[in-house]
Amino acid sequence: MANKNKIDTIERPMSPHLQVYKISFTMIMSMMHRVSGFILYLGSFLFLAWYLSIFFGQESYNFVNQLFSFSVIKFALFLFTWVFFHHLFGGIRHFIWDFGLGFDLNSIEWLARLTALFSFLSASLVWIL
Amino acid sequence: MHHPKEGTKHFKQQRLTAVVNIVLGVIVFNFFINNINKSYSFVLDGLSNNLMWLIVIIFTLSMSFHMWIGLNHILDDYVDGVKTRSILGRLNSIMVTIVALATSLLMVNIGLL
Repeated sequence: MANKNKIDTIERPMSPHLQVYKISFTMIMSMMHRVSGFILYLGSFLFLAWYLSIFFGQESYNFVNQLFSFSVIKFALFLFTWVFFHHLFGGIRHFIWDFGLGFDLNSIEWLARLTALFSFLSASLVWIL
Repeated sequence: MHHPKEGTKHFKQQRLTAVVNIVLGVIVFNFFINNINKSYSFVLDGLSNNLMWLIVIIFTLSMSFHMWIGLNHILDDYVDGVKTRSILGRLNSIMVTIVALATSLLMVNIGLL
């Protein structure tokens, strides 16, 4: 029991010291997976707000719809869609690694490039179609 | 929060919910984007019909659990102070519960009533 109490109060070591690494594309993509996850976390409240506006009736829905019609908001929503697909394809990349595949440097580099490319293409497709 | 012995469990849960999120997330995102600037009755019909409201509920529950684990791990990795981490962990649980419960209740109301 004494050990358990000790664990609860131990200050855990911090994650790798980011400033000692030379920034690479794959490193940014790895960080982006967490950043995109956090943005989507906040975005879940946007969905909730939209559902609430529908629930409260036509007037509140029209008000939210009016906000959505601004180009700046539309652009932000496009970026949000891109973030969603970025996290989605980043997750698929993790699935591939979970099976022990794609760990050589060339594959890692290509998987990162494809994540960036496919996420942008998917977000564009959802908005165009 | 601190999860010394739950790594494998979280690993499996995170991937299981991810599979659900990939399939249903694309459907829900597509529904949301395609309904921007559409009329109220059109969106209401879209949610009530084709079990879209049920898809939204399942997606939201799966997504909420996924983001609860995700944020807890971010807190474990980057927040050093035990007390701060514990408070933020609880805040995370509250926020995720609000999203999951509120969305589910709203969807049941919109879909069934």
